[in-house]
Amino acid sequence: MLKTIIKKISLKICLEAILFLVSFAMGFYFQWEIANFIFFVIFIFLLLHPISSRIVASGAIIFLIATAILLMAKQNNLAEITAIWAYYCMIFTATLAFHELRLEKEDAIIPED
Amino acid sequence: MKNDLLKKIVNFIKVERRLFLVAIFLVMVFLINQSLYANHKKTTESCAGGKCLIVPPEKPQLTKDNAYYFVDDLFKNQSAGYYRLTFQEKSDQAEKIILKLNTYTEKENKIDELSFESSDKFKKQELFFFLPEGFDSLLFQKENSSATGNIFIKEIGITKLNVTSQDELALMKKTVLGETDSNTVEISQSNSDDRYPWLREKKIILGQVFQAKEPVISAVAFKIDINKNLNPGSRQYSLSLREVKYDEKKVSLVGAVIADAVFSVGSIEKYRQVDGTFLFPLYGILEKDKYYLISLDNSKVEVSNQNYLEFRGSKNNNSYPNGSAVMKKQKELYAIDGDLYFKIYGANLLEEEGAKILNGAKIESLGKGLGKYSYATKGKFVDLLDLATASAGTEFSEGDKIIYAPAKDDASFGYVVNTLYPINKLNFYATQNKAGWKKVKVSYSFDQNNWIDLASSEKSETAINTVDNLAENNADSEVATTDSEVATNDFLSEAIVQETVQVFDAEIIPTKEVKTIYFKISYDPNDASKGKLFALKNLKITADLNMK
Repeated sequence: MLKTIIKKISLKICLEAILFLVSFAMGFYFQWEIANFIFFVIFIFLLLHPISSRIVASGAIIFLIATAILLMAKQNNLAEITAIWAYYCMIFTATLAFHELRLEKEDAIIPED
Repeated sequence: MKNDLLKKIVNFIKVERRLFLVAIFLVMVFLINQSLYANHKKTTESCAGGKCLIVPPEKPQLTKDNAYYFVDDLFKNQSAGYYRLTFQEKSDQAEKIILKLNTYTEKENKIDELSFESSDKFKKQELFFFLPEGFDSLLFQKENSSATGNIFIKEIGITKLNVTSQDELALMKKTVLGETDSNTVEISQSNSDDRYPWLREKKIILGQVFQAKEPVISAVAFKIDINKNLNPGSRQYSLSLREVKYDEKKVSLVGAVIADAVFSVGSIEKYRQVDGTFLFPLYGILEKDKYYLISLDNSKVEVSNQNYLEFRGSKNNNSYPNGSAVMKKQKELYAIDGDLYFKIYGANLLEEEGAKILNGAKIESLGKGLGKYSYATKGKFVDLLDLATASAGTEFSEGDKIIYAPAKDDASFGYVVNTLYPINKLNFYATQNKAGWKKVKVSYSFDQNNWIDLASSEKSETAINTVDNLAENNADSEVATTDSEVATNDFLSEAIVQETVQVFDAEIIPTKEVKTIYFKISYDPNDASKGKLFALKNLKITADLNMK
């Protein structure tokens, strides 16, 4: 049973786990705030397992709308936080969009016989 | 075999290059964060000698490279006659100065020669002279143009005299110029061997209890080391003064905040002194022998091990016997070991014939038994020190450059105007600070018993309405904090509007011999507007005096 599990764990999974462990260690070492830390880990995850940039972009839009609503409600401190989260999501979106553009270019190359 | 392994590795890198890109990204994040947090500690010692000053020191008007200082157009449109010249000077060496009248055609007329002594404090100078026709400027000239002394000259003023001859000029009385001594340290604890790093934890109040020795506090100095990363944020620390009940280890707050000041880690440097300590202006009227707490609150700041302020002090409980360092954590206020390094500064107005003269007030003779009193607020923190009475919460706004107070209960602040000579006629001029603020009530009295309200009129004035979109939603948001903070911290939108404000322009003619008038500034309790503060701006008090 154990041997089967060990066989299934590839080198790639091991390296990914190490990268996540390093991310966690950096978060603790630099004492990042919990929200910033979560966004950093999400970013690492998205770099390793990209998803559609539209999903992340919708997150940015939601945070931007929340910022406007919070500003109207005079919740300035919360608005500042959601504005920063929107900014993070926009960075994620730009990174993923760049990746998608690269994939599209690779797909467009017709392989030679 | 080896080639196969190598090929496998190369193939793995090619297929899984994303993993390696992420690894490089992590290394870069680590290195950038290391550089952000490393070597960003500013201590009092590292800033001593003016190394961290952001406010440039004032420049001397006369130096070894510049032996001439022209005051252009001082006499422009002034008719010929006898005049009084007043100014203040400070020199780092004994120097001789020649004063001359001057014109653009370089015609000159010597007035006098003056000797300046070496001093680190400004000295008042006063001299009388006859101004002929055809001169418009004043020239300060070093007698020896190669002398190396640095001379500072400020507050130059002239007054035309009601005098027609040298004989009358000889009878002129010396001008009295009010000034405030706010450089006297009343209470202090000067040991700073130990550190108080507790402000690195969230929601901490750390401060020092002291026993009042004088009725006024004008400023407090602390030794604070700054730990900050490259982005310390714009959230603000709050430094406040409150009365406390203190009994060795027991501390409890009494009443409201008497005075407070707010600053961020970015803006704290404006309070830095040449010796590296911080001097915070903090005005409050105290009761002798009562205990007060000056404390710093970090509740609104995102603090961490890399971003916090660290008080210096002494862990020895006997370093200041009449108080203690105090900390508040989780709603509990308690005394902790030792005392912070601190200096409490008082404020003493100049006294003449037993009467206190307001800072900057001028009492001058004009000749033929006539005199003039003049006082105006300067739009600086020092204006607060002129107040004879002030209810809790009376503060100075750096942004609006006014003294303001919250409009609640029996809030008021007051002035005592001493003119030294009997008043023939006194004029009180001031305007309401802003239309949206509570209307102001100004009363005066000759004996502090019978108070008479001054009438006000209304005038329309152009105002720039600043909407502070990110300001805190409390009473203080009506007041701009500081120019730089408003400009950098918040999103602002501006609109030029016409608004109607109160104007006080009243003449008071005493029916008996009076040398002292009391003014009380309060708010109009019948004003139903939603304003939470009241204040006057452009306060000017002038009086014609009988100097016979």
